[in-house]
Amino acid sequence: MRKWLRFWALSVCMMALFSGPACAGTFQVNGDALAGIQLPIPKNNAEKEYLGLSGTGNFSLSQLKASTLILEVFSMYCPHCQREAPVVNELHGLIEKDASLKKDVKLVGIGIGNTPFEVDVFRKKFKVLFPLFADDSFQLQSVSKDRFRTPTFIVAGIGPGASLKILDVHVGRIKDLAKYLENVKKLAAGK
Amino acid sequence: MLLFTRRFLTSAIFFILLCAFLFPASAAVAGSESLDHYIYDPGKLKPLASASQLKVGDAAPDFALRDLAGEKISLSSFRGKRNVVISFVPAAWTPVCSQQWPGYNIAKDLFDKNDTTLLGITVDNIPTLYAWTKQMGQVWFPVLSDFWPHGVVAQSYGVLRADGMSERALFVIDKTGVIRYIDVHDINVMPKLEDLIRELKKLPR
Repeated sequence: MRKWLRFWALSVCMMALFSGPACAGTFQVNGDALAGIQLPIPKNNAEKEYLGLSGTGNFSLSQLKASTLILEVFSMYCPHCQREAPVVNELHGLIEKDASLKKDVKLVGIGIGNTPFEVDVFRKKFKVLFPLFADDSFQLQSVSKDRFRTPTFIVAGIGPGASLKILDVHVGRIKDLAKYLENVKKLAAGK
Repeated sequence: MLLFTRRFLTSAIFFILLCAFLFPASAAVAGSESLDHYIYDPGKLKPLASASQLKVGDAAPDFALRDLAGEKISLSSFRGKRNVVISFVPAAWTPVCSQQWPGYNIAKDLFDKNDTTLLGITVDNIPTLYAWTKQMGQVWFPVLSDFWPHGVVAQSYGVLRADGMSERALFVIDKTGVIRYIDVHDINVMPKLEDLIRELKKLPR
């Protein structure tokens, strides 16, 4: 009986050991802190129109004329972000082709730790059509107690009173774009 | 005998089946991105731990180091042909270094516009550099190993630290072999790309 119990105890320990990597914790983002991040209003008219902004100065992501935001936190220096760029471009294309998504969902990228020059290199290299912003002072890091890994995709509901409600955080590359977009649709409809 | 009891065999089969389900779950986390787990974070290091005697206007010390294919690449082979940027990074598989070269990897056109090639040098050995740059997705520029004699080229440029790594340093060398720009950077911080490109634009055509 004791040998039997020892065998099962060892099995359970081995299972715990192997299942460790599959049980990573979730990355927490503070919606209020994200709403507090100030970004420069683009000079580019097409980007201004896309975001529903006007004038000059700074804006908060909570001011976008949309109900849902997808924020990609990336770095020009990150090889995963470089490989992911075509997928994110495709995501943008799919959103723009869907009449209701196009109105409700806006895609924005922030290059954490990148200068405007570096973000521009990324934009040109990968022909990115949605707005990208530089965050060379790492102000974005204030929205999470955990260090950002890139790419990270944050879906947030844009609510009344200039608020952002975090609906989903995805760390790493999007392996199934169709599934991810379906999830975004559900989140946008359900909030 | 324990090995051949019915109970043991049943448990063994159950255990093996369970592992067959768990291994794919672990493997789902594995893949090229999971090599990020092998990036070693050394924590915050002393920003500078060497003192280069070289200055702008000096002749760049010549060297010949092996690339990932084992071929020797010399600095002087670029004389009269291309400007050269030498990028010393401290160590493979460490955070800032693992991003600096992927950044230069997508800026090749900026180097080409200024008739410049890039040489990436670390004090790691070739197998280490091979695995590391493969994880980046291959790079367009030669990667050279300054492993043995250890750090002799880094030493000649005055950027070998007491801990055996090199500094995070950039040297811009014109086609005549003269140093035009030196940036021995805080080892913990990524140098800004625009600072380097600005210096390349100043080089004579």
